Amino acid sequence: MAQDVEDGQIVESRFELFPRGFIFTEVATAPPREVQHFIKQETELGILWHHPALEVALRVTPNAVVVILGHAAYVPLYKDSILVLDQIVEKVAEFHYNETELHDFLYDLAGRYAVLIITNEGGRVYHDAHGMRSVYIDKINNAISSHIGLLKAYYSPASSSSKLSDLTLPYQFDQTSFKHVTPLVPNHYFDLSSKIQKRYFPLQNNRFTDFSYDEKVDYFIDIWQKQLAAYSKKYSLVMSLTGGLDSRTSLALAKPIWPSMHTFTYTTDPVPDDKWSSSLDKDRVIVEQILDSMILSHSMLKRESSSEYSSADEWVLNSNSAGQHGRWILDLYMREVTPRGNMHLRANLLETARNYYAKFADETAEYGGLLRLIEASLSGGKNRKHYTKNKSIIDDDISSALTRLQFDLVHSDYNYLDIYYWEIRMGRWVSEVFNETDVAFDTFIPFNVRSLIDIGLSMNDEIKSTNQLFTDAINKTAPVLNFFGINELSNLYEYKRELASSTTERRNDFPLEHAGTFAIRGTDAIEIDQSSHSIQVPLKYLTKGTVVRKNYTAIHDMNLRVGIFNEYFNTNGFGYLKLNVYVNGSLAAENDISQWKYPFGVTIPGITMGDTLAIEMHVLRNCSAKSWQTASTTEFTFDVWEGSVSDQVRSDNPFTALFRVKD
Amino acid sequence: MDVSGTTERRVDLDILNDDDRIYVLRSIFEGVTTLRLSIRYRLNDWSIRIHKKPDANTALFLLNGAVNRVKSPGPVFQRSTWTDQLDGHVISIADSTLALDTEMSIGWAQGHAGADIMNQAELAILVSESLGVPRAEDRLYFGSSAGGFQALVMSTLDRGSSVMVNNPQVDWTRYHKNVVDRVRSVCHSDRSANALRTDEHVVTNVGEFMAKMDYLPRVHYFVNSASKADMTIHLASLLSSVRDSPGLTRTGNLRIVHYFDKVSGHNPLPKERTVREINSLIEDLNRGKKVSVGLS
Repeated sequence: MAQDVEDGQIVESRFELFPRGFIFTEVATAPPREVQHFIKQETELGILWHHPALEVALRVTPNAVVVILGHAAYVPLYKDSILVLDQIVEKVAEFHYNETELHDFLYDLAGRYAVLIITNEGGRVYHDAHGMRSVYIDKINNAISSHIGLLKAYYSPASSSSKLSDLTLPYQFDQTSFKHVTPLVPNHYFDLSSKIQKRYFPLQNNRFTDFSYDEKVDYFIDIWQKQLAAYSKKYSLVMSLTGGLDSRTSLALAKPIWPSMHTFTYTTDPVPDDKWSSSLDKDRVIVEQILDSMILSHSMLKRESSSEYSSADEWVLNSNSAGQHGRWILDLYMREVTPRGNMHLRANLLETARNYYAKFADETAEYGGLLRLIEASLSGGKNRKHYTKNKSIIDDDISSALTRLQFDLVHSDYNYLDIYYWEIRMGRWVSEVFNETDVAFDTFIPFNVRSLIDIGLSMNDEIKSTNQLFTDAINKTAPVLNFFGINELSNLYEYKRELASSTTERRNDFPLEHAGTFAIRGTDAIEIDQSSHSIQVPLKYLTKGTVVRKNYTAIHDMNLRVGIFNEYFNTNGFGYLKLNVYVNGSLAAENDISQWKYPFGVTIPGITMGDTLAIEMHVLRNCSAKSWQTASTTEFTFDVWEGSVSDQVRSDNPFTALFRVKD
Repeated sequence: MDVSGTTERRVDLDILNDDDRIYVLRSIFEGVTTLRLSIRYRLNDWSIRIHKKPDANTALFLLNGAVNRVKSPGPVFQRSTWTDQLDGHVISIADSTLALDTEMSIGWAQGHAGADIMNQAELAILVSESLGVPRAEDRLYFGSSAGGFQALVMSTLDRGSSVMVNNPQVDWTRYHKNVVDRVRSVCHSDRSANALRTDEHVVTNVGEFMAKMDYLPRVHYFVNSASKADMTIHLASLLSSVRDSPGLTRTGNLRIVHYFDKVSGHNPLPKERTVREINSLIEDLNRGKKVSVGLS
């Protein structure tokens, strides 16, 4: 048990410090009290300290020390699998002289692990595909560790002055809170002699580009289930079930081991207007629907049953992970799940192949739209203030980080947005989640092998955005699981039945009364004939200062969501056409139509019957080309918004300026 | 006294109570430097060799690995020629199992249905106390190969002691089949390896034994990375037991020292290095310092 000192008293924590952690030091350094429970492995090239529960295979060869820390399975497409860590380390020791062979081997090496190859000249550090095994390197003290907290305990490194280090993890790139401590970024190895990390993937074409769709799905299932078969023999697997697609995919692919696997769902009592509790409660309902149809060992973990943590507990958890990711659940995990299993089968990483950032894709822009994505993301949320204040420095630092991380070497079969999502968004954040849950169990994600990630990334944008790979994988393994709603309470039958109800019926629910469309020049207003659901500036009105306005009146009280569909997108088209939304004459939302090519919404809370809504297209310059008429064409939907709302106008378009319309 | 200056004595401890055993042993040890002692204890005959050092506060136990029976048909005290260079009292224990069969070269102290290793551990503590080393913290067990197995079991039973091993068998049933078969036949009435592994009265795997005892002694485990079986069977087995046993994961008592020697393979480290490492650990004991990885 870890201990903390509180008011001069030693307080014991229920949690272990740095579970499955390690630190490799070049020279013998007296360890701090935090790691007195670690195993010590000495070699002539350095000393490894590791938590006793960490799986370790270490080999000394005439020229090198090779270590694998964690769990791993070699699952190639056409060769025999290697599932024993001692055999895997032999292979790495054999290949470490030949970079191509080594990188090929690592391509098919699944699991959560770090690989250290230490030589007299220096050596290299690798980790698993997504960096689920976090690795940090202290460049001054020549130490390699799983936890940034361990390096802190050993060396008390100096704080970083980089502006990136004050951002949230997915924007820190290769920086940390400490000046000379760098995280190993996925697809890179750390070169211990030059002390820089170098990209080794993806430098070549995606190996699955030329496979047929069906072949890809079959190989996806095969490589996934090969791992499951091996892991289920070695570990007691437990799996979290939610109402989402990732968990559903993972459950379907685990069908061969359902009888031996325990599942659990964390939930809480729903609180009105609280999105988080409603979402967890929805998970409960969907999971109960699933459990009603199949036999699975399952526990429902209720937040209300979780107990408080002592100061010693908090101290340990703060040391174990950079950031907090859901600590309340750890107590429930340890009480309800740990006795039933030692390996958590998770599905988080599937989102790497989901093309989440597709709307930012821009082949003409540097790094394919990545810089715009980062700018838009940093302009909102937790980072907004810090970014706004230090924008030019941070933009420069990000640009330097992308250069250091050799994004320019990414092969053209891959897009920068996917690689950013993989390496930085997931690589920096998700590993710290596992560092936090290590107190309860180890973590295994079958998708975390480059062959499966490549299959996912080789799909076209439509398949990626519709998740077809995953739903087809479900369809081929446990099709009944496609019947239940994905984050929806309706099942497939109910959804189809609802779909059958006509669009006309929905129109009857139109919550506004259309009060005409007008073209306004100065004081002249001419009514023009346009549908209640669209706006367009006719060619003859495309002169500077013209406004085309649509007027509506609310026919009942509601929270209103205006869906806006405009396909024009051209960053050079800024300052020509502006779309504004007004409530009772007050500006609620302002948007230059050139900046965003995807549908978006503006949600306006607290509309009451009789309120007026106006949507205006402003012509800011003379636009003589007919293409501007097309560019101005915008469709609308108006729906009563039943989700949670704040008291302010909101939009999912980061380029929309929003204003408070009611107190 | 024999020609080498070593005193030879015999004693039957089975006829004495605990206090008398220590009293008798103390009087035997008095005034001698090196002593070969035949002891009747727990209905078995044991051969030990003791090299007393002036003012020593520590006891080092040397356990036997494989023995050349053609060269040495009687009791063998391996490394007894090193004892001048080893610090503290040195006690060599011959594996009494070998007395059961003249063809046997390795016994893992299995003796009579596996009971000998337990009795050997008891006897070691008794001898140590009689030598004036009553605290487990002042005792170090050393052995390589089969001696390593014995040293690990004995230290596990002697809570607070330390142990240094070199390429030990963590699980003797996974050593060469012909050797294992001989021990199964002579010591265990030919019971199968699987039957022995599941018999709670027999120690076949010292990692599992530690897990059962919920105790990991202070282990200094020297292993040749060039010796495949020592890495992939025995060290891996110990690490697996430690990993899977919550009681063993919180102690910080395991130190593993890797070296690479393609020529020596399973054979132990050379004398010079072994003596240096043992004396370094004895020095730690003398300093009253916990011989542990975590605090070293």
